[in-house]
Amino acid sequence: MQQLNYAIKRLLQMIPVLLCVTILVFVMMRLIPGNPAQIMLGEKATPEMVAAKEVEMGLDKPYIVQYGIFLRDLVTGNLGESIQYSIPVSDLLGSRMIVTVSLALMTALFVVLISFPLGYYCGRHKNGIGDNIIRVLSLVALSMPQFWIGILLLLLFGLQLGWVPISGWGVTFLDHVRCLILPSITGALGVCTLMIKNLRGNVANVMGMDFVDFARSKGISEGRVRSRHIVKNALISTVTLLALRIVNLLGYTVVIETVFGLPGVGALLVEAIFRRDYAVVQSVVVIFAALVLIVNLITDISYSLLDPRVELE
Amino acid sequence: MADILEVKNLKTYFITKEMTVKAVDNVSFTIRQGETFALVGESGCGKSATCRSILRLIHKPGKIVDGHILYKGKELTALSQKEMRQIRGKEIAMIFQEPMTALNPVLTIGEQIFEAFGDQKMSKKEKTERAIELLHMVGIPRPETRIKEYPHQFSGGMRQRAMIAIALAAKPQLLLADEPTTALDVTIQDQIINLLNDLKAKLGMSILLITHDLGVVAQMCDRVAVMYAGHVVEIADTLTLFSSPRHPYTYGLLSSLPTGHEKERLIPIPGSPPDLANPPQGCPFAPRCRFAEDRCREELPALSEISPDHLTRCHFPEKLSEVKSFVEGGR
Amino acid sequence: MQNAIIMRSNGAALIGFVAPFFGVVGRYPAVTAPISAGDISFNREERNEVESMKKFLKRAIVLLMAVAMVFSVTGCSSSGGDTSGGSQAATTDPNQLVIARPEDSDNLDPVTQDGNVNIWLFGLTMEGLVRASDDGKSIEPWLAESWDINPEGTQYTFHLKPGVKFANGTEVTTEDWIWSIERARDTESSAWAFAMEAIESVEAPDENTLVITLTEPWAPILADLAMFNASVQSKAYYEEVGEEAYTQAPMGTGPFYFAEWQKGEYVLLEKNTNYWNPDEPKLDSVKFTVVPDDNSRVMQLQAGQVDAITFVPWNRMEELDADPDIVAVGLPSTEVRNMIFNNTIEPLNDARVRRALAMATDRQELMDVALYGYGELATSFMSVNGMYWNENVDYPEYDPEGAKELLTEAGYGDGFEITLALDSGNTIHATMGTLLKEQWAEVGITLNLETLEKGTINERMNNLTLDLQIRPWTNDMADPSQQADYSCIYDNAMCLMSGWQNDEVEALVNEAKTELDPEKRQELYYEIQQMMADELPFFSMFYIPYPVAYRSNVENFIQTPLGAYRFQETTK
Repeated sequence: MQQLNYAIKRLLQMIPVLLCVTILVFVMMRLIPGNPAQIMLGEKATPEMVAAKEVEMGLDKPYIVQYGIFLRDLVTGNLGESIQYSIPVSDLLGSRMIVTVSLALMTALFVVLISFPLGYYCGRHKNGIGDNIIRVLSLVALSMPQFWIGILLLLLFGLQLGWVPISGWGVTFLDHVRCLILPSITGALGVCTLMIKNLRGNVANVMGMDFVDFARSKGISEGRVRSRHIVKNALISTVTLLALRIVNLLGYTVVIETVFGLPGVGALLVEAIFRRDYAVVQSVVVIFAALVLIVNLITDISYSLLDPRVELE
Repeated sequence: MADILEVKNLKTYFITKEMTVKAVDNVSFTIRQGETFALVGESGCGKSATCRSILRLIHKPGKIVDGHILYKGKELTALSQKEMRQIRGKEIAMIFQEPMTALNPVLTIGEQIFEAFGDQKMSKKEKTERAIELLHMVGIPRPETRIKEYPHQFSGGMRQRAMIAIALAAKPQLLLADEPTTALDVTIQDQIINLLNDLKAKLGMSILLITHDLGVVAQMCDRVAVMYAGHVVEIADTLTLFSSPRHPYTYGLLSSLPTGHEKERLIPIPGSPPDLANPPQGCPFAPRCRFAEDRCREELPALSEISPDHLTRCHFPEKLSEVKSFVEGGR
Repeated sequence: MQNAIIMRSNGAALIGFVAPFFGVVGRYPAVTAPISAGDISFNREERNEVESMKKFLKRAIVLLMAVAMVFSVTGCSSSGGDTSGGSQAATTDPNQLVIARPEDSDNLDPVTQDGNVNIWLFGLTMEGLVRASDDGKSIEPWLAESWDINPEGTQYTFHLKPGVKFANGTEVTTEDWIWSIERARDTESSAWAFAMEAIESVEAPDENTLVITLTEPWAPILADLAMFNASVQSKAYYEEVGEEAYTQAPMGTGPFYFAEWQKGEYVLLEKNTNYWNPDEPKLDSVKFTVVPDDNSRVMQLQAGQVDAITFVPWNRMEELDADPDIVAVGLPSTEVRNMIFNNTIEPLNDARVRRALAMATDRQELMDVALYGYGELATSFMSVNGMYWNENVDYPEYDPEGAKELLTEAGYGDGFEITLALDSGNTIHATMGTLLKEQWAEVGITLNLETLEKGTINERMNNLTLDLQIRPWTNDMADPSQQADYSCIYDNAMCLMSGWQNDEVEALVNEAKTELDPEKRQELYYEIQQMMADELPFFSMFYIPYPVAYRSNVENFIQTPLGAYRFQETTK
């Protein structure tokens, strides 16, 4: 099938890109000042202790060798050991990935729930009162810093009303869901603005197209016109945009996870950077890069499935 | 012959806060069963708006403010949306000018035909068979494979044929064709015109043809209404209109047609059409009419019958009878 | 023919990932698009678009102002500490104490770890021969009920409390004791091995006696043995689970044990049912949760979602204490906040200049503004809540005139320029820096502030390439020797990274470690404190308590000045 061949081709293309990413992150981590052994041991360590720790961590070997070890381990699935926690990075990442991915998915859900109906409404009733109100509010949502929105929401729904727990991840599945609600909404708000604008434009455009009238002239119900003709066409580029924005969100999880105390990969990454936890940073960056590439691939393929006019190269 | 469609004093205005555009201003005409009726005029004269008004497909801020549209005696302007849906597709269908934008790009041709079948109880197999039949009828080769294809996989002419197939799927009695050949090149135009004529004969349809191309009118139509600035200015059968026009605008249109003579100079009508938001008092064509008199500028002429089946909206139609007829090759 | 749309390349896709880090997210088009409607329009359609855009903008501005007003009103009212809706029930388990802290532990093996995030928990799970008193100033018997010291002071014979068990039920044997102390001493990469340096051998003549022989008479030895790394741990357990697993959950004899550790979320300690005191602890479990965000932490306490929080932002302390359901206190600590001078560069190599800078500093103002008045002005490099702290040290006071005179005397009458490194994200230091800039300007000194990231400061500090920085110090043992070692002996840590070296003080510090007579020892430390005050290699500015807040139903919440939590008798 055309899509399958394309997918294979893209997956192969991923390899050199990921290789570059590994080199980049390896070099960058070592370029910035700060010695992980030193940081690990703290200020009460003597130079001898630091030297001993460096040997223990394999930091005394030449860079090429260190890179080689990193790459070899990576290919065999060994993500190295965390300097901070002294446990394999893969152990650390497992549960954290679940948190971050859940956050991304629930954010996507909220984006769809909030922006799709609003975007459709705005496109349908362009320049009406409702349209203007929604546009202003979404601009406001976009301009406010995420952590500020997050804290406000926490104040209102967590503290004043007590509807949701104030930050944290919880223990049971239900806890997790409740803990994810506010962070997801916070993350969704910024994306919603873009989605509403996009969908509004698309819907308004599509509505004016002849095929919509042609469909009506066949005497089909307004509901079918809406779903099969207007929405189906309007959503194509919106869905693609959504997929891309969600991937973008991975970068924003840092802020959201910190404010809401979610033990996700974003928070882990930031902490690891501060502590020069090479193994964690390298692994997380490479994994994220791979994730981004894969999601983009899926997006492109979905795009071609949604719009028959699109041809994959 | 019974009338299949009667439009009486139709007024469709586009009303915004700043202005009111009188796109269709007191338009009346009748289409007889089995005939091809043309609505002719330049861009912006209101012919498309009239056509869309019939099926109540006018977009906001447009609205039918007054008048009657009677299909087989039924008042269309009074129907609910639900009732209107019974008319659309099944009784009256429409085809559009630009086949690429008139077909939904994300549905296959087959699916779009199926949609036109509406609520009829048909099995998938029956629907497919019928769709293939329709495509065959409009002259699309290998219809079995084609129904699974998307519009962008068809060429321009094929798309137009497909659109016609879709429109005719539910066997309508009246086909509204909004400039169906304008976007096509000349050879294809011919094919489509022939196709429409064939189908009309085969299915016993009536056709309302919207066009600005008098050549097409000559090829296809039995009777013609000429529109200008939202008004109908002349109605006659084709031959009479071409040979003895009785409205200065019609006359101007015909004069501006190239005749193929060597070293011919084209004679356009001087001036430009009026602003439909601010139409002039009196006859809308008066500012550009070389026969205009004071009465024309003050008083809007009524559409009156000057001979059987020949109506014109002019105070001085007799002035044109002095002009030599076209059929005789004169100017 | 067919419309072919070419797909993006992978490289471009990656930009989508990198973009947020550069803040270029597509906000730009989204914000400017409504505004860039353009002024030139040729046809009616375009003009209509422009018209509607202008209308939209007008309505937008009105609505924005309305929204802004609404937000500012809600913002004001909700920060007023109104917790009326927050009276939801506290944590799920009525017998579990939940404490929220900003950072997670990273290694729970007392010997190999390094960091208060781990150390402060050991008081709950590990026990040693002796322990520091609750006020941190003396040593008391613990798992050793008594001991004898030989006349030379080189051998201690400890009489062990019988019947003590590890949390997993196994008996504590002298083999465990010997193994524990030897591991503490011999683990090369351990930052705490220094405490066991003086121990030559550990032996057990019988099951209830432990004999520790020292290489020389060593005054701090009891305080050393009270440290967490000298606590008794299970050899068998260590060998069973291995080194790596041990860092996740060690085995001790304390009132609680490490039951569960979800990285980045919480550390769960459960009641040791095998604890040698059957009446303790009163709680069933203690949970340390990780809540990095200050606001969230405070809110959780206000809502009753947690029972206690640590590292309360100073500006919230008063507000929290005013809440009838909450107690907010500054618990006595051993923390000293020092300004470290780089003694290897000019002009800081001159003691007069250092003293002048100290005199140019209005510490009261710094404390009032940056710490909201919490804390005390330091008058010695040693912690106020530590052993042998001298209250009568002649310490530089705020005296700008005197500072100017000293500077002139040192040859810097025209002042000089110098840079203070601030660790990014630390608002307290940033505030202090800003105030210092003004204060020092009055004596002619131009202070530049440079904000650097933690890791960078760390490296430059070790290379002695910083001019000035502000760092906290906390004691890890109830004996002044650790603080004196790090502050006065060059080889340890360059005297708190100041690069200063003074043989005379070093000699005194070393002498104090072998002086067994408490009175003489005190004299020595008093002398050392005065010398440090005169030389001032670094400027001790404040003694800062631990900002802690807990629900008022919590009783007996104890944190020693050394930082260790003690919850034997805590209830809620």
